[in-house]
Amino acid sequence: MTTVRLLLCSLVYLSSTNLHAFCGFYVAKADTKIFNQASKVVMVRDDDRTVLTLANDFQGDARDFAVVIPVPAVLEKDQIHVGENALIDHLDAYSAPRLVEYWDADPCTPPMPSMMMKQSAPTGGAADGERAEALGVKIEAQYTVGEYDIVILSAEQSNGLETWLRENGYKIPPGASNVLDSYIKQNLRFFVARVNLQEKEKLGFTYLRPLQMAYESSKFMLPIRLGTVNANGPQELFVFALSRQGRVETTNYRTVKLNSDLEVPLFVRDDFSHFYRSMFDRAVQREDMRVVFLEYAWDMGWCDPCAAEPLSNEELRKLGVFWIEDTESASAKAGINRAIPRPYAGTNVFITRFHLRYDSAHFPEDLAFQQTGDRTNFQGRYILRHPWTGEAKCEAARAYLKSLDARYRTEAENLASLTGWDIQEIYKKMNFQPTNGNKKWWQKIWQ
Amino acid sequence: METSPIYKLDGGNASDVAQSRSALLSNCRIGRSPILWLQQTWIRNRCAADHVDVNHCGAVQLLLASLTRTNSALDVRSALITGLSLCLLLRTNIIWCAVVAAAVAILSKFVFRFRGKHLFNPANIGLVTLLLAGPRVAWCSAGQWGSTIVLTFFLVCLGLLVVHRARRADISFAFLVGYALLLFGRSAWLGEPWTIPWHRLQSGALLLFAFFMISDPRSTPNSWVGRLIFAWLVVLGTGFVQFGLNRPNGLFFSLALVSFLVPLIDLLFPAVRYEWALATDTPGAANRSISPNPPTS
Repeated sequence: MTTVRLLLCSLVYLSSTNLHAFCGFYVAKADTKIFNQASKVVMVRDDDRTVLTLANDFQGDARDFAVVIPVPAVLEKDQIHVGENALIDHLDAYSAPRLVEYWDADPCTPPMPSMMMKQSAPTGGAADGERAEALGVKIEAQYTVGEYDIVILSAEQSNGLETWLRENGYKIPPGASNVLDSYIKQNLRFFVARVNLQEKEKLGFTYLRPLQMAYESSKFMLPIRLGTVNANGPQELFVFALSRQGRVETTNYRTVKLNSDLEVPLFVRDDFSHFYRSMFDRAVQREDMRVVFLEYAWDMGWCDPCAAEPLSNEELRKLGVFWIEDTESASAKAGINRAIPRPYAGTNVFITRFHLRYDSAHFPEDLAFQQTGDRTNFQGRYILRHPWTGEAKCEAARAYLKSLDARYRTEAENLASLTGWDIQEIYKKMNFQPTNGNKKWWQKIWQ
Repeated sequence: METSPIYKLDGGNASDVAQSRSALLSNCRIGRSPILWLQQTWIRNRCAADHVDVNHCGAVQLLLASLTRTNSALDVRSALITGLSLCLLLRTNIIWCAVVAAAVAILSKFVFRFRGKHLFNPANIGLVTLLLAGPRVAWCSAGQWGSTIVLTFFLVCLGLLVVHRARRADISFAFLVGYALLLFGRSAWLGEPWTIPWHRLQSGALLLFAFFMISDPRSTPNSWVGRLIFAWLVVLGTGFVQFGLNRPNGLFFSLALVSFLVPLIDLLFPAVRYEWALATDTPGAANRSISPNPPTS
């Protein structure tokens, strides 16, 4: 079976120019591509309105691709759209954990102030309405949007729905029936999409574009239970939430900020992705895989440092940020020119990036969210500090060089603590031998 | 970097909190109360708004007590419980909102009264007022407690200790049993695995609500039958908000709404009213000061 990925996109507002290197010079980012089989979902939410963008990096034969997503309402054709992968990639790059670097100044100079469900070969062709009715399944709507054939289903019981899906070429994993049943009783509908090969050929895309849907519902949640039914071990999920008022958080799981703003050895620069993967593995292990990690929370108007430029208004609108137009017309009326970049200016779009590793044992229920008024910025940021390498001509420089030993040790300890890597190996990679590194604490007292 | 202050999430001014704590200690004479211990252990690293809530509750209580010429020396302890509940549940980025919540909570005790009883639990009405203003103003992070067994066990023990002294364990247990039945019953109907209701029950906010909020003897029915009915009505209301309206914080909204029915329940099931006892000034008396007295009115 082939795994299918989901991507939900969020909104961003206002572009900005390069900002000062106040938080360090940006070196590298750890985007979602370093995690195998990671699903990505972007949620745009304000009041009861939601726009979801589901992208996937499905690599197999397009005819094997299918998704079944529980949705709270029957969607009309206008509520479904096919978006662009580039938008999600941009949002991912903008919000990714980042590596920054600083260079120490000459110490002798005074300082300056400063659901996928995978599916197998569909048989093609729309389901017969009468057969569906006999199974207690109602085809609420049926559309072709872009390269996708979409069916919105409601059902009376899971057995009928399961049978209908199987008869129409969808491979339903064992155990899905119970989950489908609970969604049916909660009056959810099922958004079923698969690729229309003829349309795909006609459009000329060699990859699958993200599906988008807009709906109004009091349910602010993301169904993940179907995804765990057929999973081969824990799955990786990135959720990008774009909201108007502030940070989004999960209400039924703890949201934990990732360890951030720590200094690490310079060699991390050469393999930031490896470092980040190891760090995330360890963080998951520490929290017993029961929390949702916060990787980024920021006003979309700016970044510091920028792993990628903030998304433009145009990109945000395409992702579904429906309130941007209102803001722009209000600005136009007020005579405000938004074309002028406003570094550090706040906007009315706030991004929250979540990263979780989940399975049914540790995440038994679907993710539920709420919007908060908290606009405190947070980013996953790791720091490289290049030492000053000049000649020690003054007392300050000699003291500085002496202090480097403790700093290198701290950097190594940070890295070992973050990733679980062996500290001796780290010292070796740093070409550094701590003078007291191997001594016990009592051996250092009377040295 | 330009960041806005966050009250409740990050570390705060420890010395201010310590000052607040010592002031409360001397003012309230509650000695080694488990509530104070809760404050010391849980709130130590939290922010300035915490002691705004706690101190403000105390200040408003004393002010209103003197204005209404009520002998409320002991009620400062009640204000302390209210302040601590707000500290643990309410989150806001706007410091004056914490003050408003505390003021609303304590004011409600003086304004919304029926036959000498409070109509609302003070912390609950303060919290609900702010939540109704929307997430821009304040929110409640019920999910941020985590669900470890250790924390659950800790809070259960602590809660039991407190409610035992206030003789209102019946309502806490009635509520928890009713809520558990609701969650397990709903999951059974939906065909969900038991891990789902179990996960929902392992919530610190739920236990805090059950043992420190709904158990308030001054705003709950006088008779035990009335209290059972009250607790189960709160359960039904919670289920309606949570699963019918799909909104968070169903516990708090439900309690505020069901509180309107307390006078009616008291009418149908009359019993003697609960009174907080006044402490004497004898050493050691402070720790025994919360106990039921014969009705005074």
